[in-house]
Amino acid sequence: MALYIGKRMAFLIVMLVGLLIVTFLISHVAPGDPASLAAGPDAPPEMVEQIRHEYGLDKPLPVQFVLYLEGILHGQLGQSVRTGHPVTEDLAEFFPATFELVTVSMLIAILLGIPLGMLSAVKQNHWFDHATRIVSVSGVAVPMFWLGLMLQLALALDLGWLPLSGRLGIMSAPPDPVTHLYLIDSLLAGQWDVFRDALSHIILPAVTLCFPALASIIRVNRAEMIEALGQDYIVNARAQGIGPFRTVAIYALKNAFLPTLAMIGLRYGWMLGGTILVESVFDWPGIGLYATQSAIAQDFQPIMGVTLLIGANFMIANLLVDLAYIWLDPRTREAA
Amino acid sequence: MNTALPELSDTGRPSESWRERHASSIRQMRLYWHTYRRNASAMVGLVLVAIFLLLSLISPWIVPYPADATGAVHMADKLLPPSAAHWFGTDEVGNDILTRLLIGTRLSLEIAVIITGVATIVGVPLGILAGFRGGWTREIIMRVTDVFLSVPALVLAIAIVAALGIGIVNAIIALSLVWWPGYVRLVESKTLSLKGEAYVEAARLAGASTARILFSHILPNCLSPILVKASMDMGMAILAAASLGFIGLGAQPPTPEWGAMISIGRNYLPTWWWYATFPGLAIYLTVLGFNLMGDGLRDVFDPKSRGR
Amino acid sequence: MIAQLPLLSIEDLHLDFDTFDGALHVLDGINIALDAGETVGIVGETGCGKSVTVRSILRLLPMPPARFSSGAIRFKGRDLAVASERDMRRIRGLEIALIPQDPMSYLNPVFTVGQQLTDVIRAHARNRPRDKRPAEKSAWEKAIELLTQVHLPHPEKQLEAYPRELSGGMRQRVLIAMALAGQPSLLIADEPTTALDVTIQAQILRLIGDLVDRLGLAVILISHDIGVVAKVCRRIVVMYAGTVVEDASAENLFDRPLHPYTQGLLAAIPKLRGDNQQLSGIPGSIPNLLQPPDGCRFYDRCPLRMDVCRTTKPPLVDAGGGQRVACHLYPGPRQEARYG
Repeated sequence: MALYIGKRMAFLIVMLVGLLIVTFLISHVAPGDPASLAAGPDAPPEMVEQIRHEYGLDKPLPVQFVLYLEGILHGQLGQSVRTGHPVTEDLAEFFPATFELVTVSMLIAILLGIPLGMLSAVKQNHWFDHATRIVSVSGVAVPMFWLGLMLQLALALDLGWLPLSGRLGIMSAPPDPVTHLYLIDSLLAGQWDVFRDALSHIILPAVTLCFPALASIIRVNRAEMIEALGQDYIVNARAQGIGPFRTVAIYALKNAFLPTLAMIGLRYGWMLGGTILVESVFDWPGIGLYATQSAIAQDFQPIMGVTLLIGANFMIANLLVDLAYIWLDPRTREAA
Repeated sequence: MNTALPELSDTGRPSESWRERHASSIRQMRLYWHTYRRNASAMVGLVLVAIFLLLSLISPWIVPYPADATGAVHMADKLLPPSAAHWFGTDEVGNDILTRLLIGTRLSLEIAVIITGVATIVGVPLGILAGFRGGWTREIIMRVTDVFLSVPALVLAIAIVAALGIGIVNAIIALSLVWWPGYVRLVESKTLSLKGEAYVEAARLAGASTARILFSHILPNCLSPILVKASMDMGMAILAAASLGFIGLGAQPPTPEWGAMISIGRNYLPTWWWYATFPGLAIYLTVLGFNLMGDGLRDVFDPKSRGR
Repeated sequence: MIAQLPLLSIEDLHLDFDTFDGALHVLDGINIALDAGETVGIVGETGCGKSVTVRSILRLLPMPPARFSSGAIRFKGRDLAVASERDMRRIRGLEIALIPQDPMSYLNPVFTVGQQLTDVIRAHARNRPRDKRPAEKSAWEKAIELLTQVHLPHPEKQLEAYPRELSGGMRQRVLIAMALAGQPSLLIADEPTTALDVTIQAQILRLIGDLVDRLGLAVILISHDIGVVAKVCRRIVVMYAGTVVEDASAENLFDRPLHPYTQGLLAAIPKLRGDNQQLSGIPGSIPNLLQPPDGCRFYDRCPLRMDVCRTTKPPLVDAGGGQRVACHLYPGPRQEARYG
């Protein structure tokens, strides 16, 4: 078992190196002079040359890659021309907002998706099943940014129930940073009004972001539950007198859960991509918005940094899903 | 003696017509169509896709305001709400939004075809190669694929666009680069399982060349999952391109790309709501159509997944 | 002297399956009864309705599309066909228990044997009517007791194992232990040995026989293999196409099979000695259950059929010596043999 985890970690590192190669290639091999990309569109030629020399961009490619790796290991991800800060600092500043948004969104998707999937499986072809099917098919087809705009239009602008954008209202000051997650920090500090404010601000973006994941989770869970419920061991459970709730929620669900978990892992990755769109719509100060603004300003280094960060994040999430598989499924455990 | 004997070909078999030779394939197709037709949501998808294709074909001839298609400016008509004259209202330079949407259909189709086409043309052969050859070939191909898939598609696409420069062409290039790994993975696993089938073994023992095995045995059996994925990908590609357009990295105004239109329309919420609403609906319905169609195809090809 | 009420009495049970093409008349008037402590075997070919019959007793069939169109299932006097689901939960496992067919698919692969067994034990404790709750003993201890009862070695270790780690015979013993957990008065064994090797088969059958003797259980044993049934059961019921065609003690059935189908079944068993020229079978196949024939369902395949067999269903009548048969060859007393 430990051997398997060890192998998996080694694999993770290999993947990360691979990702570094890809980002390196994108930034250095793509048409467009990497030095002027790094310097930004408005830089004078002398500055471009200076940057070229500083970053060793006049050296052969493999040497550049080694320098690049060295830089990464020292936490050097370059400088953002737009903000003037090192990319690592910017990322550290903006990441918590994204993390909070994606986590809340994922939680909504899981907490709603699994029960809805289960219920649809149990009440197949009921109107409930058809309704959830429409939701789950639409969820993947709806453009997330458009959905966000429509929700803003309906709930924030027309009805005024929820705030339009941002993480907090103008009147609230952010709570003392412990985790940098406003929801948790405000609770820790006992600041109820700040908590409520942060909560009301996160609802719309989180709901928008969770839609595709919710849809996929419902679909997979429903399908897997239908399959599990058709199995003989469910008949046996009933025959031995096990009640219906337990049969469905525990006996069947545990079998259906693993493929659902795999889908959750996959969707987490999509969500990391989708956050770019949602943050843009709701002015949510996360790395997605950071990346977008950098891209428009043709500020290149930050985008590479964001790509690396999101990539690493996704890889870790996949690792966790694999580990969960081993923990939950005795069959995988044996294979490991 | 008035019965004519059928012609004998070299192999000694009477030569059959094309229809007879392919009788079982034809019957298979008809069975597929029959199964597909019974699926209500799949038919809805088919209708939506058909409408989309039709509009993209004939749009230049049916647009109510042809001049607006090429970006004519008449400020007097700017930001008019939906009415009989302008079903979807007008935009900030007075162009009829319905017209621009219809023209955008063509653009979206081009985007979908190019991205999905490149992805399949590059991804499928690589996948078959990886699955069939095994060994180092497979390792290399799969590791590279894994790395590409370890970053969410949109993120990587943004990075590539940022390197190449903003614009719809680069957006399409970026998305194509990001899309092919999905096919590699799909086809590789299918090829792996097909490789162990008895008939492949038999073909090999009979002396069939690798190329023949790949073309006649492996590829046809991969077709159904490829078709399902490609069908859904047409919609998802449009969605991805629209997303890039929305952020401002894809199509640039005044190109009537649906995502770009929404990004401008955003500035005119809530008063002039129609500008952002209708393009989004267009995206939704188109992607929905392709998704439903892909789902329907999946149910047709793999009856075990019915109930999903 | 008043005859004692039978433990279980299936009375003229008709069961239909509603399908897209119409109603399948799966069970056509089943009459089976057994007393406490009695062992009855049900034999018949695949599709004759034996599994459906016993699953109806426990109401394990999906009730739409399955439907009782008439008849009753009386257990200790109560009609199970109309009992509520809650009441059925008090019956399943506690009064009537099922030993299913294929131990691999009937055990949940992602839970250990112990988890599943203790779960059943706890469910029984919850479902049991208050006045009958036994003294407190941990579910774990009870599980070990049960596994010992079915002669499973090292019960503590087995409880920690997953189903796939056990052999087929061991898994079947676990299922038997599960069935015994609620201390039922009636055991239903649905092809308990079909999925096992012949040597293991013998062991399991011996175990079942042993438990019957020791615990005084009534048993309904289902099999398509008469040999299996003969080992454990005193009485054998032969079913064909949803009807009971013969019901006799094992001795009588083998000595003088009355119904032509039974005769055909017994003749089809290959003999070890003597000259085996040809295996004899019964030509033909079961009738279409969507539009079953008006008369005897065996008509098409019966070598001794008569005109009346085509038009009228033969009732199940007493042919003497405790043997009942449904065949026009044996007119018997005009009313159907019924208890009570």
